Amino acid sequence: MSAAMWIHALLWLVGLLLLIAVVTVMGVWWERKFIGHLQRRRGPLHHGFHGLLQLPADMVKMISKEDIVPDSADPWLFQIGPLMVVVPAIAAMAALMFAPGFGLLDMNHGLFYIFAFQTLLPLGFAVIGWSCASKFTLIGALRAAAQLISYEIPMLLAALGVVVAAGSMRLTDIINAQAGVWYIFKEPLGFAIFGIAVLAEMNRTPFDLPEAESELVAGYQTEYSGMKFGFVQLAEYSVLFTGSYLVSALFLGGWNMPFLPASPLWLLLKIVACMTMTMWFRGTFPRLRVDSLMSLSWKWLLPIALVNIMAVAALALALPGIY
Amino acid sequence: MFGSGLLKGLGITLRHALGRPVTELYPFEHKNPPANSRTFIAMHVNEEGAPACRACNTCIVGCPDRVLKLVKDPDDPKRAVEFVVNSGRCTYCGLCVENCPFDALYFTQDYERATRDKGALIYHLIEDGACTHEGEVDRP
Amino acid sequence: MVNFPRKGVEGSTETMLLNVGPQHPSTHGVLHMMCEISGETIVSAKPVIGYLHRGIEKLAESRTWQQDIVLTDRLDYVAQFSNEWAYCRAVERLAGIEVPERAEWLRTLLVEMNRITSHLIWYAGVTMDIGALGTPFIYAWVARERIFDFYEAVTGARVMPNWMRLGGVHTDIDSAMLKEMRDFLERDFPVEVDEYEALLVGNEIVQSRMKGIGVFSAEQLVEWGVTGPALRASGSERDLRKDVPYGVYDRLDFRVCTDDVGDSLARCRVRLAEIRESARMCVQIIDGMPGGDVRAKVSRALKPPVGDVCVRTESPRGELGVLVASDGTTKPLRFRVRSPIFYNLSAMPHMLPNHLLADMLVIFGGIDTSMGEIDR
Repeated sequence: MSAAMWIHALLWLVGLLLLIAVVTVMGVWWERKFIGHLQRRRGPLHHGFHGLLQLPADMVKMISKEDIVPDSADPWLFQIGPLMVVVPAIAAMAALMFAPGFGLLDMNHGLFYIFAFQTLLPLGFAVIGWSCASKFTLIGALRAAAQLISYEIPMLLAALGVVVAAGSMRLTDIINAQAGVWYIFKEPLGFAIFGIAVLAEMNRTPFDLPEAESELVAGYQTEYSGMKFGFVQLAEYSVLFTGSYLVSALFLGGWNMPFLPASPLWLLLKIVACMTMTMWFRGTFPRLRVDSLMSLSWKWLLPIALVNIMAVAALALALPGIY
Repeated sequence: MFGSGLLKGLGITLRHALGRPVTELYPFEHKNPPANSRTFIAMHVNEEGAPACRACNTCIVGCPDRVLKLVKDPDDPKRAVEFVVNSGRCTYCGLCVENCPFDALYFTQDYERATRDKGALIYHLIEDGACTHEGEVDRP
Repeated sequence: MVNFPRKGVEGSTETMLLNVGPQHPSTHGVLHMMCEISGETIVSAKPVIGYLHRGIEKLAESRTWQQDIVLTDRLDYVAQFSNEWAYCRAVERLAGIEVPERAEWLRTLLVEMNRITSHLIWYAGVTMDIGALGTPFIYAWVARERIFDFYEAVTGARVMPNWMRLGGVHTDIDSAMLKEMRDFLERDFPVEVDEYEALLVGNEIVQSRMKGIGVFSAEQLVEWGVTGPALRASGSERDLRKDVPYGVYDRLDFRVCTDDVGDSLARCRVRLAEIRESARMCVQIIDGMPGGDVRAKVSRALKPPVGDVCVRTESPRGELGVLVASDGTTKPLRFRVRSPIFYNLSAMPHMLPNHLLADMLVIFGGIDTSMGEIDR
């Protein structure tokens, strides 16, 4: 590789890390603020403009906290666990494209790359939950692993419908294929399945069972404190961002906007809208029970997703110009 | 059914999100408690500036938590030399104010006396036969 | 913990003992639930109580009859007026004190408002338990704060009112305040209850979690000693306000809210219906309020005759019984509380097995615990 490529990659890496930091700060702020207002409260208010500096202050607090390792915990796995979650979550973001040609890796299998790294997350959660040697974390980790794995299948099948329609796994191609009609109108069923499955992949209400605070205290992260807890949170917000990006890119047209020139601004707006939707759900809905969660995935989403992909494939063969 | 309840719930929360928040910004905005709200007690003074207490002991007998302490003047059994309130023990039941036959005690409406020092919760209403500053807090 | 016998499941691997509480986000106070679980299914459960024991029954013996009212506030700290009333009625019957007419109406009014605030706490707790992140929680809290403002204006305190006295009540409620209460309860409050209903029983996720969970027949519940809304949700009409009317309940037009299904969702419906019914009763009481004195003259050094009296009332959680015994002195010989929640909670080991861990919270919410009254 030439020096220019190295510098390019390095700049993107720094940029992505900055993006994750900004996403986490703004995401947490916006989540607190929005849910606060849903609950007729004001949310953070006193640090900075309407509490914008609340999360940096929290981060400083987290970093300066004592790093507690439970006696019975497996010392190595306990240390590695948060990294096993945060690294795939951030690595998955390397393939995100923000405008035509504007992104770290414009791979021709970018979608596959993102899903591949997200698949590694359950392993990290399992390691976290197992290493703590606590019953609550163990149940939380098993729930997380089971949930993430069983919702991955309908999610991938729904995404496959888009891939079939676009004829490519390259994110740029998929988004450019939506310059006319967004895939949400062509494949509404796929969008519904993908939306529900992504919500479950992100561990968001009503699928936040792995960290159900009323049953499992805090699920797999019960024993974590300080910056290790911060890492797990960082990973969750990265996954939230990636999930919102995928919904925007695969179904909502990415940087395209009808009657208006394409711009990364639209993509950003769509991502924020998706994130706000998850927060709105979180502020309104209770969570599902663990067995209905599983039956929703295996008995409903999976068969419907199979029907969906076959229908899309048939349509793509029958009407090659439209689909 | 079929998600209509979910949508209705979303509508309810969104409507509240667009409305005004109900929280009070407590340390910045103070809310005055109602007139008969039970807070820290204080003692009335009569026209001459002497405490209204007649040292009858009714409040002390009526107090469930032994909060009050009274020392009578040895020369004049109707005059209190000292009247101590240990508000750290107090449950603010209001029986002392209710029981006082001379209406000498009243509630100050002052509710912000949190402290790190238990001793600071003990205060005198009468010291050396005269009302202390604490006893002279006027009704707002 | 060692003595807890594990039953085990046939044909399954080893079971696990999970201690839920005493420090746990959803045990409503400091309840310790020892659950034997196989996977996520509860095999057997055992509540461990006593973490909030303050010795109120014994303390009462060292205080005068009047001073004990202060203690009754602290029994079930979300249904303060109900406890005060039960105690005052017992002592008044023991000492033969006549309560003025207006005082009875005022008492009934605040006890019914107390039923509303108590059920609002239940609503807040149960929505929180099933994972609704506190949005319905805070909506219920807002209405509760509004009613607590009335409490504060009337009694002088928000949570520990100490308002009832032997032979009446401490302060009268003026007509302006009554009108304000009436306006709130008749106009603003039912709208909010509609929202509560939509967010809880109208929500499909809640329905999927509660429908058919924890179905118990009325006979079973009576056998376990369960009373109150939890029993009425199984079709029983047992309500002391109708069966043995006290206060002014015999002069009010109200219905006993029941449901036939007997599952957790029915218990929610019954409690929400009771909130509406209580608001309607409050409006009736305010309309029918007679004038007159609010407090009979009772000696401060009251010495009831030797004997004992037991009184039953319908608290928001079930049948609250109070026994007072006097030896003819200024202090009670014995003060005993029959706490409804204690009996409701002791049915837990029968109710929980074969349910999921997540159902524990739903069933738990159905009986609406308040540890202050169990441990006393």
